[in-house]
Amino acid sequence: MKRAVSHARAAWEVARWEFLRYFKPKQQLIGLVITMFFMVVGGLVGKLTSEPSTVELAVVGAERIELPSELGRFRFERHDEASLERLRAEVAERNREAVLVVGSDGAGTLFVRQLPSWRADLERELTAVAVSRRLETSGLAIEQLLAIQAPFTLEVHESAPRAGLGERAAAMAALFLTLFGLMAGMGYIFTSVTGEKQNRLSEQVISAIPPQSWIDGKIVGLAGVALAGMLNLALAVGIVLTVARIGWGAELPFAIAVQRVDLLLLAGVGIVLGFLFWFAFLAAVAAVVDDPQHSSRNQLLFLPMLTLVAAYLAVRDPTATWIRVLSIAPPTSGAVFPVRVLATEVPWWEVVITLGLLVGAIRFVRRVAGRIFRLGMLLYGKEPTWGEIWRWLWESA
Amino acid sequence: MTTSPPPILEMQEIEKHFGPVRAVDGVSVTVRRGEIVALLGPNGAGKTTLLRIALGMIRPDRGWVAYGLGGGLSDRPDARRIGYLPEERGLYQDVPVARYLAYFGALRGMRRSDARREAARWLERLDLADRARERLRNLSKGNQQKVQFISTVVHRPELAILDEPFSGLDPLNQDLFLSLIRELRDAGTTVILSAHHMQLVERLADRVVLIRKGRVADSGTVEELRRRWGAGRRLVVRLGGGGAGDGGSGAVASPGDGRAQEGTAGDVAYAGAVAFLESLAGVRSARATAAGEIEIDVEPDASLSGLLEAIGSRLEVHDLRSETVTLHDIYVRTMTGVEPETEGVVA
Repeated sequence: MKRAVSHARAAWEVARWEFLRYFKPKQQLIGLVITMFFMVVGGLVGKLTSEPSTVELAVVGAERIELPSELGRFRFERHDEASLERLRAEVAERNREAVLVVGSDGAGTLFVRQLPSWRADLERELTAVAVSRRLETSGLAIEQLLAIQAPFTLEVHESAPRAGLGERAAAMAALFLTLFGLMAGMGYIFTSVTGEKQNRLSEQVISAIPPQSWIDGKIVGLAGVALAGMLNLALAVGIVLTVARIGWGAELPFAIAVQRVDLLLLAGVGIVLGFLFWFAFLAAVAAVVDDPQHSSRNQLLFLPMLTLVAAYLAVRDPTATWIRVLSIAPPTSGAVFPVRVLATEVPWWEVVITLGLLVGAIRFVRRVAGRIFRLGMLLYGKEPTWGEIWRWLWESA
Repeated sequence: MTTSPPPILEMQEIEKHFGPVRAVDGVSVTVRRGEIVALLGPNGAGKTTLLRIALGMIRPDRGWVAYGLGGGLSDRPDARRIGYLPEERGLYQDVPVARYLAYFGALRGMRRSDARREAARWLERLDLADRARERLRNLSKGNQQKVQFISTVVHRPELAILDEPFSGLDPLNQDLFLSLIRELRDAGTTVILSAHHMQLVERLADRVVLIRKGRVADSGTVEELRRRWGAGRRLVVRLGGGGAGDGGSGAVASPGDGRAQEGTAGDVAYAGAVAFLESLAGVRSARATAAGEIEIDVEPDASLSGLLEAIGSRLEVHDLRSETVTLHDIYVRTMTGVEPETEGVVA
């Protein structure tokens, strides 16, 4: 009937218990639907409020600069002078977007309801046309004209090219998901540990299993819940974007990362290890918090967030030397490494060193957390000082 | 010749400090298999610390602990064979009753299926079978306490350590827990408990260990303690209104309004009566009470008839009854230092 309770089994029982307590399938499903709903609504709102790609203008006096019917994104509809008043009235009544009048001196006047965002584009296009016409009338040969207009050619050779749009988008997506998972996990860990302490459950559990098994189980179980929530969010985003791509041909900038499953897996390993590291740290902090509403220790919760700032900077410049250092060394590697893996090529030896150091750091932090946990969880009604915590660690070493 | 059962827990010369506070100071306790042992003492006496040391949750600064669990000897507690009900106890309020119990059974080494089956048996026994799927927060306080008790014993421990098991219980549930603990003992579980409910402990404990300021003040069966502390018998007399003349000694009982008041003539008269009673052979001590009575602790081997005759010859006895010294009396006297302390090894 009774079996020897190994550390692994005790930790597994706790992990399973914590996962089942905090992972609510119904809530996850609702979260999935809500995320998809907001993405669709956001996409539609963006579509409706975005500028049209093509701008149609009525033009009076187009012949004065020999304006073509199309110029870049602009379509020109020619009208005579007599139509001007009618056309302006149509603009005022929102039946027409704009009227362009080209004067006899070659200058233009634009009639619109409000200053449009495409004004600079139009000016640039019209300037090009006007310059061409002036050059034509100057009597230059076409070869001379082309030579004058030819742009300066600049060929660029990059020794450490920046991440492309696809890679950066994939890295940002990983960063966003990590932020989501980390924040959710922090909430779970803090609620779980301080809740058990406040509900006077810790003593009963510690009498049954070693504190190390308890904290390990908590870390694994709640990291599982955070990961499940993260995957749920990724699933919701993936469904909506896939539908958008198939249905409307929308471009997915990070599709490039989806094609590199090996990189996704490597980034996933980095994210999971990062979670384990920070959740061990947070469990130790929570163990010495008596009242989560008023504890000064709550400020330590911002530490994991700082690593996400480093990860954000890594998206922008993944090859910078200091970013490489932060990517290799714990505690920042848990957040920076996954971003770098997706944003740029990371040498294999760097991957090995990073993951090795991170695993070692997790082992160290969980041991320290276990010691703090053992004594902190039995301390009711007061929070230990930093000196006391140090003494516990010293005495139990 | 009878052989006593083997020890299931032995603690020798245990010391534990918390900073400058000496919580446990050289305590030695041996608990034998099948016993119900009660640790008694005021708040802060070191009982809970001692229990936590017994559970292996706290390491002693000095001394050693040995366990006779599972038929062997070890210096480490086997959590599968121990149940613990802490003084500060709570529940996972958002979890169904059956799942909560299965979890604690699994933590104590049971297969989940076995834990569920055993939990169901206990819930049936405590009339909670129909609440098994309810969340714990929906249970009354009394039922929650029953669930806490089940979580302590669901794995059928060889040793159950119960810290204040009766605290917060109404009288009906106190009786229920009393019978449950007896059932545990009858089923082979050794029980160590700490409690402040002297009447319940008196009815339950095979042996009592009195702890004062981190040290063992006394220990033994309740009968042994009675013999040691109360000499087995106590007579309580109320003296008549006119008193009994005793020109020689001047010992005149004068109850007045029934209360011995300091500084009154009656008080002086009572003092005379107390002095007379204490001079009698077979009387260990006598004292006037606030209720206007005199309590006389009698030596166990004293001749009661001779004593009554001597009292009657000098004092006018209005009322007389015999009382047994209670554990409460012994506790109060031990903890207030009325009697000399007995320290050291407890068998």
